[in-house]
Amino acid sequence: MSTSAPIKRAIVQKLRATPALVAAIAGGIHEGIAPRKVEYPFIVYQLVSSPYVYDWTGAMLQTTFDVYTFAVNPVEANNLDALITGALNEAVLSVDGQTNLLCRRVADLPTGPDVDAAGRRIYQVGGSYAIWTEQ
Amino acid sequence: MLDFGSWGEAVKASLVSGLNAAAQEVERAAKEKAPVRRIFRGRRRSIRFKTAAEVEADRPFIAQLGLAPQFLALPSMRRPRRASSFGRVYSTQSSDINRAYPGMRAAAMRGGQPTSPGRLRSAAASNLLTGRGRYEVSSGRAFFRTGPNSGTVGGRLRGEIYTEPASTGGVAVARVISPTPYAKYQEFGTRRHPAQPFLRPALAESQNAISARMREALAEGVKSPLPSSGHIVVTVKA
Repeated sequence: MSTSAPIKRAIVQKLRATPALVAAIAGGIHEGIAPRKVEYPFIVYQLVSSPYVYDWTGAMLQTTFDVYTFAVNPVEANNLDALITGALNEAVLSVDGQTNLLCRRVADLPTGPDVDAAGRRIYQVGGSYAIWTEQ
Repeated sequence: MLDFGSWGEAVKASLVSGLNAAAQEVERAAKEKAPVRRIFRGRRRSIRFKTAAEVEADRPFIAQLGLAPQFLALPSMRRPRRASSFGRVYSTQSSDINRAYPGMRAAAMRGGQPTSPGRLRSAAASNLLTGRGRYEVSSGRAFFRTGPNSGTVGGRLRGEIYTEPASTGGVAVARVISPTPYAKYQEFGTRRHPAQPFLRPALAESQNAISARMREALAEGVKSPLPSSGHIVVTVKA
């Protein structure tokens, strides 16, 4: 029985395999929260839920991940979000020990502009992705 | 022909009832997952403050032991000069661990700040609370009223989650709502705070319970008695 950890690795690998995205994000990819002095823009991913679904044939993991970008201007944030969507939506992820059934964007995140510790106005744009895998 | 109108209405009402029951399951799961601010040191579910009645009951016992008088709850009692025993700390398995300090409860009933923020300056209380906890309790900022004479320190996000039941007309939609202003920051995170989702995981992990409730409701509705009157029309084509 595997967990959601290989799925996280697969997401990061998929994002890093997109040259346009890697070139655009100066601050890298972080899980949960980025350190304070990270350069903008950067990407953050977060596991939202990961229930196991059992049937007579085996187990399935239905995970939901939030992947969003922080940038200092909204155009850049939206462009990066579009690149993320292009990389992950309907993508075939290579998950260790599991068979990827689907990877699909299911919702936009309703987040608005914020102010960081340095007083800069920043924009958080992203979406939720449903990733189902078979054990 | 058989008139299924009333029977269909009974099935629909049963399904709506099942939907509302499923929404309450999601609400319960969301309340379990909602983050609660941590103000106590150590294990979160091991400590609570004594109530005023318990303090009074322990007073003779503590006097016999020669310990300093309790300063809890009663405004008339003077503040001890040295760190005194806070009294026995009760362990509880109750999920409602953030019992309001009695002075805080009195202050909340008055709707204002505690009368004496320094009331908590004891070594024992300091050991029980984190730095954040001391600030939250002494300022009263995080006090959340759960009833006319009760409250907790923290727990507003969890306590304010409620279910809006579905109506029987048109499309039935039941909603689980978290109206707290900072709920979206907890759910989705910010630049300075990682996300702590509680609503979406509650929905995702309640799928089995939702399916079960809807199946039960449909089974219950289908059992409704079919209309007993009706007639059969036979048409013969020449």
